[in-house]
Order: sequence, then C-alpha cells, then structure tokens
Amino acid sequence: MARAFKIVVTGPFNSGKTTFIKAISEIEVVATEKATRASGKKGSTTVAMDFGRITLRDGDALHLYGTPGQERFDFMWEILGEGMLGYVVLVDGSDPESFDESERIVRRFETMSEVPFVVGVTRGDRVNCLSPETVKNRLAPDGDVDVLICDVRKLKDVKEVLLALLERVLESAGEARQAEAG
Amino acid sequence: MGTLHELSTEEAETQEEEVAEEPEVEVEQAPTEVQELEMFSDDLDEDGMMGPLTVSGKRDAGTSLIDLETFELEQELLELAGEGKKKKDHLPISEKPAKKKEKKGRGKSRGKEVDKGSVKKIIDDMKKM
Repeated sequence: MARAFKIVVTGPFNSGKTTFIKAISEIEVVATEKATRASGKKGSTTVAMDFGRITLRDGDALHLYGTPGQERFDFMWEILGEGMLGYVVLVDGSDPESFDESERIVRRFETMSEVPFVVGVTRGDRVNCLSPETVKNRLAPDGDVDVLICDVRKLKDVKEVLLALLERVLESAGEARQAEAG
Repeated sequence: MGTLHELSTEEAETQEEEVAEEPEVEVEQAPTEVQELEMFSDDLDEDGMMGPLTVSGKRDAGTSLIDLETFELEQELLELAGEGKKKKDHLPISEKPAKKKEKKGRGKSRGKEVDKGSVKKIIDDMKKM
C-alpha cells in the first residue's frame, strides 16, 4: 500500500518557503497567495499553505507542506504539522530583523512536536548574509541542529536540506527503537 | 390580492431571486488543467494585504480548492494535512454559526511513526533524484 510521508517547511514571512517547495516538487505546487505590501518586501505571501509532492519508489510519496509565514495565520501551523516526519525552518540570513520571528517559530514548533528539524539559511549569496554558525547560535544554541546555507531556487540545495532532515529523522527513529527495546 | 396563479408566480420569482443571491463557490476543472483562480478581491486591508487571493495548482494532484468565502480548507486538503473527517457544507457566511476562536491544546505530538527502513528508502530515492 502506498504511503505518504509529510515534511513541513516553515519560517518567517519572505524566507523562501514557497520557492523551496517549487524547486523540488514534481507537481505544480498548490499555492494560496495574496498580494501584500507588508514590510515593503514582496508582492505576495502564502495565506493558508503550499503543497508539493515527490513520488518515491513503490508509489510512496513525500508531501511537502509550506506554512504561512505571517503570525496571523499561525493556526495553520498546527494543522499542517500533524503527523509530520520533521520540518525545515528557513531563515533569511540577510535579514537579522526576522530572527526574532524565526526563533519564535522554532519554539512554537518545538512545543507542538518532538520531531527533528533542520535550518536552511537563505539568501546566502548576499554580502550581508550571516554565517550558519551565527544563525545556529541564535536559533538553537544548545541543540544539535544542522544549519545549512540553501539557495531555495536550486534543486541541489533544496535536496541537501531535505536529506539532512531525513538523516535526522533516521537517527531519531533509531533512538525511538532503542528506547522501546530498553 | 392576486389570484392563486399570480401568487404562485410571485412566490416562484421570489425563490429564484433568493437562490440567485447565494451562488456556490464551486469550480469545475479538468484534472490536468492548471488553475489560477481569483476567488474574490478586496482593497488594501489594515495588514497591508490587497488584491485578489489566488489559488494555483493542479486539481487531481491530491489537492483541492479552498473555500475562500469562509476561509476554510476543503476536506481533501485537510485530509492531506492530517485533519478533518467531515465534509463541510457550503453555507453562505450569513447562515454560518459564529465561531468562537479558541486555542486548541493538542499537546506535543511525536509525529508519524516511521521505521528506519522506510526512512532509508526515502533517502535512497531522494539521492537518486
């Protein structure tokens, strides 16, 4: 029987979540967007969810759900996070002002679920982009969390982030099995 | 006071008008067509949002539309997101009961139970992409 595995892509407004999913999804991404002028940053923002899919062997599929970045739509985070294997937090490395929001999202997801997560630092090509170490110190100073630079427009980068997350999921599945046996 | 026939005609017209005032937001699409829908539009709101809300994507890709009138995700999307079991009916906003906004305390979930073999398989497949 074909199974669907879920990964959630989250992060603050304008961190590149929709583009991340579009870069790797094999289907036309289902996007729910509305035009916005918020913070003078971009033309549209996700208001409900983005949905992309990757088909695996034997008919299994990896479903990618992008959350809305704005706090006013945060009721969707819990809905989308139900049953996820893990999540990707995207952070605009060139926008330190969004770090507070990133931190808040990470804390909120941590209270929602114990599944692993990785951080993707976007806009790494900008001169003012902070290093992964700086981002890690800010978002997960005590945690063992992978932080990777990710150009969300490039399939290779998106794949690397997802693989890093899946390796974490693999580790945690092993740990859960050991805990059950012990 | 009109005749019985006239009254019946008037009633029928009134009913027709009532029906016409509450159109359903239903969009029929061929399975493979790309959708780019502008369900309704409004002006700039206080949060800096403006213009139409667009829903794009393909029907029959495990997806559905969103009932933008009431801003509720339709059943198919909710199921994909792991939520919802009951089909929502399309009542106009005026007939919808007022909803109380409350925070749900679901507690901490451990995520979907997944075995190492399945995760390894996903990783292998992803690497081959």
